[in-house]
Amino acid sequence: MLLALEVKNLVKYYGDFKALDGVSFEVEKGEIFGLIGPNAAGKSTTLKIIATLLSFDSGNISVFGNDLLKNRQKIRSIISYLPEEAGAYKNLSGQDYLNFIASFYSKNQEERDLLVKKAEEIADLGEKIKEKASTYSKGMIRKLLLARALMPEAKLTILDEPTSGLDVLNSIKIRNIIKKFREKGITFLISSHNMLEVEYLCDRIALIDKGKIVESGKAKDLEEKYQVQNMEEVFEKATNHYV
Amino acid sequence: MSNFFVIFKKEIRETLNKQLIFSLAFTILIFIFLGQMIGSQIDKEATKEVSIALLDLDQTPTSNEIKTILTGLPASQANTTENINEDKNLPSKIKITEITETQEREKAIEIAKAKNLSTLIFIPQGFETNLQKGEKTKLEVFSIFKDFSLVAATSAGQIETIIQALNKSLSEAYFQKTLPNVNIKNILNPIEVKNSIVIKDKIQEGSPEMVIGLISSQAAFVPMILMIIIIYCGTIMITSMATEKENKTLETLLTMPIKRETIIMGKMAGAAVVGFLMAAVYMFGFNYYFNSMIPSEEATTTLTLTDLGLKMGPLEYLILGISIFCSILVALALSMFLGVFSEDTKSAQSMIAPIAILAMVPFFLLMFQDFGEMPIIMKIILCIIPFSHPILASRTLLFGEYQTALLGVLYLIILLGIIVFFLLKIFNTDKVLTAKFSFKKKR
Repeated sequence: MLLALEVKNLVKYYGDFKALDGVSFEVEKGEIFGLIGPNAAGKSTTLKIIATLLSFDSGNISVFGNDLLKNRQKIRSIISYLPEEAGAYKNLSGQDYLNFIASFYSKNQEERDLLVKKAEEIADLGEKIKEKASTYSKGMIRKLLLARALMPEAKLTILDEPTSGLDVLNSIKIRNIIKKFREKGITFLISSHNMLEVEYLCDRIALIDKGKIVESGKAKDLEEKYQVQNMEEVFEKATNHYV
Repeated sequence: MSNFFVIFKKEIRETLNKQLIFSLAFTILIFIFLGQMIGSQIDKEATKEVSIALLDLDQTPTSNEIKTILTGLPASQANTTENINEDKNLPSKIKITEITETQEREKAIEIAKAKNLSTLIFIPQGFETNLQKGEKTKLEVFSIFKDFSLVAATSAGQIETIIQALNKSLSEAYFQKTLPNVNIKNILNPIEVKNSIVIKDKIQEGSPEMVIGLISSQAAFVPMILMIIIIYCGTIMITSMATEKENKTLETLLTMPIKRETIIMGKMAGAAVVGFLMAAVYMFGFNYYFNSMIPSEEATTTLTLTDLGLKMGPLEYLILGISIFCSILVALALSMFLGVFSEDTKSAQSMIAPIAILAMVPFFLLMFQDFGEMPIIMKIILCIIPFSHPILASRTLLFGEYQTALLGVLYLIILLGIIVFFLLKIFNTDKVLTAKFSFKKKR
């Protein structure tokens, strides 16, 4: 079976600091895969490398069979990435921003309009979508950016802390949208430090700590393995970080 | 729509916001307002009468003659009437106010001040006697400054003209009495010079100073435009890159299915259009402002470079256009390079300094000195600075000399290629996200 993503022995240094120390995991086509861990564990670095933004020192990455070192441009056409700290162009309206992004994924005006319409529905900003992004709250920006990331229905959608800055209701809504998109065959790689969210959303999970994958598998299997109730307790036991 | 146009359009929409449009419109209005104010003031000064206070302690026919020379009217009427003076060297209207209340200089100055007169001419006793003896005679002139404005300086400058005219007229009057049958003007100025300039195959009446003046004033237009465009385009480019970093939009853009070259070119083209627009607005404003400072009479008699046969044809304009275009591309590429190292819009403001300096150095050096007369080291420096080449081209092309301009274009193209090569290298690595200038010492 063709894997959506294959990461093998990924090593990344920031100067003398080893941010990733042999990270390896696989994501199957059509699944929601969660990378969970505390702050500075290496989640965002891993995602940025897969999104072709950062270089790495050693290891191999393959996205739908495309070697990342050899086919960066090809990979960019099949992924969509939402950074944890992202913004929109302040002088453009939400609608103009979506139009701008949709232009890169559509062949004609009709396709573009359809993409924008779909994104507007996901963003659910009402009339505010026609106003400049500089007038948006943090949560509204996040919803706009999530809509932007989901809009192209990329084969692999990478979401770094997707619900960061969103209230409970909006978070639930976004999780439901992600699940709906999974049904369309889209593969998701999601990072989060909210382990309960990942447990609810993801088919499989990898726990990352200090640049290393310490455990991976289905949430239920991991809870059984460690004889605990939830993923937070799995993380405590797997990493020996007892609070 | 191609990806290039999508980015190009976004850049323009992002940069050309309401605030910028308002600030450009406001700038034009300010320039027009200032131009009209100063223009009308200068025109008024040029045609205004010069009021002079006169304290004549000599009270002789010669001292009376001074009033006649200045006003062109008999002495008896001179201190009461405004007159149109026929001597072209003198201000068109001179009004003499003779001070009779005192014979002391200091008190006369106070009276002149009280009457708001800007000049006091003091004719001491023995003025005529000295002249008749053929000795130098003294005439004291007091310029009373109320402020130090340009207008005050113009008034003070007119006094020098008045004294020269007095000297000339008194000499002529003296010789006329001694040698009544001789044309005194011919004796005083026996040589009449007719100056002509030869440029290419054309002979034109005029002095070399006039040509140099024309070249430095009219040919300064290209460097001035270039300098302003480079600074504005550079600022827009650096700010655009810094804003992408600050607003965290660059990461998203770099993961889109767009070629790095397209991002670079689209951003450069967008910055160029907005930069050109801003430069055009400022050039229009400057031009309007400076033209309004030339009195309207002078403006109609100005000779142009075309009158001197210094005219560029379509080929010369094409080469100059390519040279300017290439130098602007170099400025944009350099600015983008610097923008990559900006962390935010604040740090971007200081990043424009190197570009501004590179644009200003050739502008000021070539304004005051001819390239051919410069020391070799200065020539090398100017040739290395990319923005010197369009300025040099604008001058050499006027004389039909192509080599300098074409070599300049070649240099600019090579330099642009090198900068874009390194830009692409940076954009293809994570340096585009992580690069920043650090002035901290490494441990």
